Amino acid sequence: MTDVAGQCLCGAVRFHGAIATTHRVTACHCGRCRRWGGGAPFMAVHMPKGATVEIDAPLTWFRSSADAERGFCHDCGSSLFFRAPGAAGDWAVSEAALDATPDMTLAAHIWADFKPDFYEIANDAPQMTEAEFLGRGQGGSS
Amino acid sequence: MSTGRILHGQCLCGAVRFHGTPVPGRGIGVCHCGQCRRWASGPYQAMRFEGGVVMDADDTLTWYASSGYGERGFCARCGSCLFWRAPGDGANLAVNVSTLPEDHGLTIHEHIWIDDKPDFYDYADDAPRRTAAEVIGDLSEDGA
Repeated sequence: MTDVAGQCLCGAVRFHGAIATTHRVTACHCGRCRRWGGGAPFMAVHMPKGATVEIDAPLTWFRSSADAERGFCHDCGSSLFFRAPGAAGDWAVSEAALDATPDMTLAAHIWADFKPDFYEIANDAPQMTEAEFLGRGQGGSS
Repeated sequence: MSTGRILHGQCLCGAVRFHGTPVPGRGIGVCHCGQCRRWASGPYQAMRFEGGVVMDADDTLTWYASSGYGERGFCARCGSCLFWRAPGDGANLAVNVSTLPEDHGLTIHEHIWIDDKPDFYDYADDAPRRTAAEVIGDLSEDGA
């Protein structure tokens, strides 16, 4: 594992946490992530133990579905975190919020079946449908 | 490209809603600058409405001045990243394209701040790639 730190655009929300040493980025193409982010896929690193956020930071959580909530800075609007409601671990954390992003690799596209046609990311990372990612489908590719 | 059709957009929770008509002949601009990516958790894919947007609900719309030449509008309830504009310039909002119905028919017409893009992703389209210096140079010439 590698410890990394990050912050929102205005700097009011600072955090740190551990990511896998392989520095894998996952791009989520679901409509909720793109509507919440900036129209493009949510590009995130995985923090197995979650992030530690500085006390009194203006971090706000929005419950976007029964299974998930999204953390953002209430001062500047930066989209930062995705997790199961109240979960201490398994956070998806915005890659671009990290202070240093050494040797990042785009390792997977998820919710690929929800990607619209108006953009295409060019690489050979595995494409996983919603069903494959959630482990309900046949033949999840990774 | 645009057919003059009115498109309705909204944030993730629905507290901010708006509509407008896409600027004819213009598609989606993708900004790869570090500020956009830090704010929006990835590149900022934006389109523009003719004359700006008509707001149908905006009680939770909040503006953050991210630099001397830009401010960013988001929903303070759900955190959706919605708009970028030059300070106070309501007629030229860059609107998060994924707030719209996905049959909008717009395609990517340019990538900007391409020199700020990290190496781990690339787009497959062949739209023009412009550096920060090139974009800023154009803005100065246009006075836009």
